[in-house]
This record gives sequence, structure tokens and C-alpha cells, in this order.
Amino acid sequence: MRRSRSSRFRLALLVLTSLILITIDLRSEGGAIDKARGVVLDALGPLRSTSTRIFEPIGGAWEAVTSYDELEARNALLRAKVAELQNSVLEVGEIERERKALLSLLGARDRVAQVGRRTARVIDAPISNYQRTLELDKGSRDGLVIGMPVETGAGVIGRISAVSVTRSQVELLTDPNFDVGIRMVRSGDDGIASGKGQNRELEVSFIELDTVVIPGETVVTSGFQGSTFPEGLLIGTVVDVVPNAVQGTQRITVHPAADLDRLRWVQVLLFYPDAPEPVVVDRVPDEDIPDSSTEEPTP
Amino acid sequence: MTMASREISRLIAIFATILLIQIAVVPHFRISGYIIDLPLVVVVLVGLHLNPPNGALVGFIVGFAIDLVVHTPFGMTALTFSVAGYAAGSASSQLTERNILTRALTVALLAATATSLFAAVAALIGLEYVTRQELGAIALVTAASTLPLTVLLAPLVRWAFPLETVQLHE
Repeated sequence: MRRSRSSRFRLALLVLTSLILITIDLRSEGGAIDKARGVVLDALGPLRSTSTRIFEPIGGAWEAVTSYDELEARNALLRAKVAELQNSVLEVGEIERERKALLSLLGARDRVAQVGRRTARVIDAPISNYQRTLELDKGSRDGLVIGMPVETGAGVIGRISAVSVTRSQVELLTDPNFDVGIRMVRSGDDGIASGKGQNRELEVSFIELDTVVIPGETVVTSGFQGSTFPEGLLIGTVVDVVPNAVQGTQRITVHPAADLDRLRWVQVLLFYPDAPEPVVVDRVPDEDIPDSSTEEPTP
Repeated sequence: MTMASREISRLIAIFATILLIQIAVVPHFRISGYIIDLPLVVVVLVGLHLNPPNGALVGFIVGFAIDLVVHTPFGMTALTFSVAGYAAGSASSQLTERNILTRALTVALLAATATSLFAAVAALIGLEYVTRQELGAIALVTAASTLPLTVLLAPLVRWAFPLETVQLHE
């Protein structure tokens, strides 16, 4: 009996230690835990880069065998999207004009275009089913710091969540930890967009009941003072609106503009929220950077 | 039952190899889009050869190492792995049938429960990583992959515990 109690006590001790570690991690940013993770990230970087080069093609073949139907469906979807994009390409100019006009009306400066960008390669995918991060081949020596926005040509994909000297991790905007201030382009109302997990849409809160929100409406970052995101970065489009009379707000579902699957190249915005003026850094002439950040659909 | 230094050094070698495989190889070979949790399977397998506190301690150390690599709250993997190790150590004494199938089914059940526990703890602190449907799929993939892995890894675990094939409890 005593031994049983003692063994349960030792388990309780380990569980308590774990809970303390979780609490410390959730309450601190840039502390000892982040530093330790940075060291491990650097140490494992070469191994992960090499293994990606070796196993990615084999893994692709494995996926083709095990998920053929899914790949076929995805391919058909991508083809449909390409056709749709070709049809709507003429509308883009008009939308861009509308976006600039609205930003101008709001008295905002379009800082996004002036912010420097660092192109980075996605060198590895998550190693756990519960992890929503990507690893990039650029780190603090390339000017990256925690919090910087990351995007593809299509829109925001997340933010830098950990940085070591040569590597960094991106927290995807579908991560439940992810929150960002947003603005509804039509109404100009501000809210908070939060990640809700893999393959799930974002949820926007704090938009009042009397604000008219329609499906298809564009959502951009609000860039409030102190935010790590500049104003006007494309987040996605509204797909669903559900009024909540009790709270006096609307629950808005937003589909991310960027495709978060199969990312190969991304751009990190060298945005420093506390800088008096945007820090302009020339784009780095990376070698062999493809036009698209994602893979082309294969026939 | 205390572990001999030879057992400890062999366990360190096994887990170091398994962690490197998990980091470098496993993510490239997904099943239905989900990643096999190899370290969890090995923690449970090893736990079946240990008493509950030692199983929990091994789980905690392995989970701690994984927490350094993955970007989930630090300590969550250590928490779930220590519970899984403890449960495996406890389950071992309850197992009357010690054939490989019984062992594999036990490991599958414990591994699927542990991965669900991770999601449950995350949800408790407000982090809903996956939907219930996805959690079901992850648990299923974990359990299904555990069956062949138990058979494949059995010689490795026997190598770690050369002096005993049957669990001896305190």
C-alpha cells in the first residue's frame, strides 16, 4: 500500500513539474525556455535540412501511393481555382484600387509596400500532429525577430514564433495561439481574428451587431499601435456570419487567403512596430526562387 | 525494481535514435495526413518492462526532450508521456496474457489514450489544436501504426532489458 502511494506521489510530482513548466512557458516570451529551444533549433537545423532533401521525394512518392484519391481531388480543386483566378484577374486591379481608397479614407498610410522583406525557404514541416509551425532557413543573423509577419504572395500565413541564429519557426495563423487585429475592409470596423486549428477557418470576434458584414468581404490586418503586423496585410475573406444577440456581436468565419499546405518559399516582413519609420531593407537576391510559393498542380 | 546502468545506457541509446528518426524521417511519411508518434509508442513499450514510477520518469524525460523541439506549450509532452509511462507500468502487472498480440493491443490502447490526453490538456488551457473528428483520426492512426511497430520494436526493447522478459514489480 505504501509503495503504491509512493509511486502515485512520484507521478504527481512529475505532473506538477510539467504543469509548472507549461505555466512558465505560457506566461513568458523570450525567456530561458525559448533560448533553449533556439539552441536545439540551431543544433538540429543541418540534420533537418539534410533529411528534408533526402526524404522529401520519397515521402512524396509515399503520399502519392497512400493518398492518391485525396491528391486527385486536390488537383481537381487546384485546377478549378486556377480557372477561377484567370476569370477574376481583371477584378484584382479594381479591388486593389478599392483597398487603397479605403485605407486612404481611414487616414492610414500604406506602410506594407515600404516594409523590407526577407525571402526564406521552408525547410521542414511539423513533427507532431498538434504542432502548427513551419521551420525557415533564416534566423536572427538575417534580421528576423519574434513576432514578424510571414506571408506568401497570396496573404498572411503566420508570424515568427521562435528565432535562433540560423533558423526560425513560423506559427501558422490556424494555430489556436494565433491572434491578430483585423479590419473589415467594407465597414472599416476592427476585430480580432483567432486561429481555430488545422484545416479550420479563422474566427473573428468583437464585430458589433449593427456592422454589415457580407460573405466574400475582404479582411486585412488593422495594424494598431504596438501590433507586430503592419496595416493592410491580406488575411482572407468572410465565408460565414452568425449574429450573437446575447453578446451583441457577430461571429464571423474567415477563410485564409494563403494556402497553408505545401509551402516552399515565404516572405518575412522586416516590420518593427516601435520603429518611427518603416525599416526598408532590399529584397535579398535569393537564388532560384520560384515565382510561386506553393507547388504547381501536377497534371 | 531499479534499473541497472546497462539498461539505462541502452534506453538512452534507443530513445536518442528514436527521437532523431521522429525529427528527421517520420514527418515525411504520413498516414492520411497524420504523423506517427514513434517516441510515444516506445515510451509505452518500455513502460511495460518497468514499474509505474520508472515508467513515468522515462516518459517525462523523453517528453521533456520532445518539448524542446516542438512548438507546443513546454511541458505538455512531458506531462502526457509521464502519464502514459505510468499507465504502461501499471498495465503490465495486470496483463495475464503476455503474447505479442496482447502486448500490441495494450500499447495501441495506451498510445491512443495518451495522444487524446494531450489534446484534452490543450483544450483545458484553451488551445483547441484539432477538431473531435481529427482527434479521432489521430488516435486511430496512432493505434493502427502501433500494432506493427510493437512487433518491429520488440527485439529492440528486449535488447534494453536483457535480464528479464517478464515484468518484476516492487
